[in-house]
Amino acid sequence: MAATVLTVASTKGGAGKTTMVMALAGTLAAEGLRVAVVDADPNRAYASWSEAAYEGAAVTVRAEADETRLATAIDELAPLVDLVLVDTAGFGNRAALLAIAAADAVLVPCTPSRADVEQAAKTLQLVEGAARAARRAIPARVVPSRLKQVTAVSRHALAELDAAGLPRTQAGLGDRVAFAEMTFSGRVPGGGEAGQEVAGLVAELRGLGWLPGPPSR
Amino acid sequence: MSNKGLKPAIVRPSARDSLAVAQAVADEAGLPPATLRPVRPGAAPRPEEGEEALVQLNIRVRRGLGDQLADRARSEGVTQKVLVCQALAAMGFEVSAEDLRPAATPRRRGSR
Repeated sequence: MAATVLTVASTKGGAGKTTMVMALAGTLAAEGLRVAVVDADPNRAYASWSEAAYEGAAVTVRAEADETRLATAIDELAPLVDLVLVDTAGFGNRAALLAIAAADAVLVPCTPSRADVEQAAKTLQLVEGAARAARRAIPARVVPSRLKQVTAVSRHALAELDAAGLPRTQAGLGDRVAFAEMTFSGRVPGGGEAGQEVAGLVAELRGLGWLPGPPSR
Repeated sequence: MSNKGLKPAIVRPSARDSLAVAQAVADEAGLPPATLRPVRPGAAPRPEEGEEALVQLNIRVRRGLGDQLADRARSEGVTQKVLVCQALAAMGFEVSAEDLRPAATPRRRGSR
């Protein structure tokens, strides 16, 4: 059975793509799933973190920013693992589009800022374009990222996403110290509020059928 | 999950399929490659009719930053302009693909 390919994309940098990939990959690998991450960002943020800092269950990592090699990497990894997560660069580029075209589903992280909401809409347009060209559905959801739960600006950003008709997940990752610490410690939050947020996102994505279930023991 | 040799109804797109889709949509959207490499002289894209007018943008920065830009541009084989444009694109500015494309011949400090 081929893996699910889940691409995390946004045409804007700083939206929280790599943080989301770190949290999802580490959490799902800790469950016992076979997880691969393909780092399609030429800055190699995930790959570098994985080599230098990550402390957790094994995750297969490939860094490929060239779209041709990226396509091959996804193809090669898919039969070997349960889930392929693809992290993309923070600007519209061909490798990100390839990652979208090869995906079973796409996550679009979005922080509470005007630019992020605009770029989330633009990213979803690219997904729609790829789906039309591929003649298949490529479902996508905006995922709230770096939200400060009780602030007016967070509520406003969510309302703007809803008003624009952009499909979004209810779960998201907040603006939490634990996620910032993860980038230095290499430890993915397994508990606390950050851990609960990751678990909530995993549960919602499983409900959508975008993530494989936990392995049977 | 059952594994009795039953074939899935929907198969994953092949690498070739995905590349074809990405190519078609990227061409339409004018997206650059993720990794920008220098192009050979003569291979530089010719401006098309009706292309947006160009303006000159000169900035003065401290020497330390100028040196960093020059060093990075040299190591990545792109111009300093491309690096600045990549950063602007990452901040959410709408940047033309042409402005993210390396010039045929680097001209600035640090190019040689």
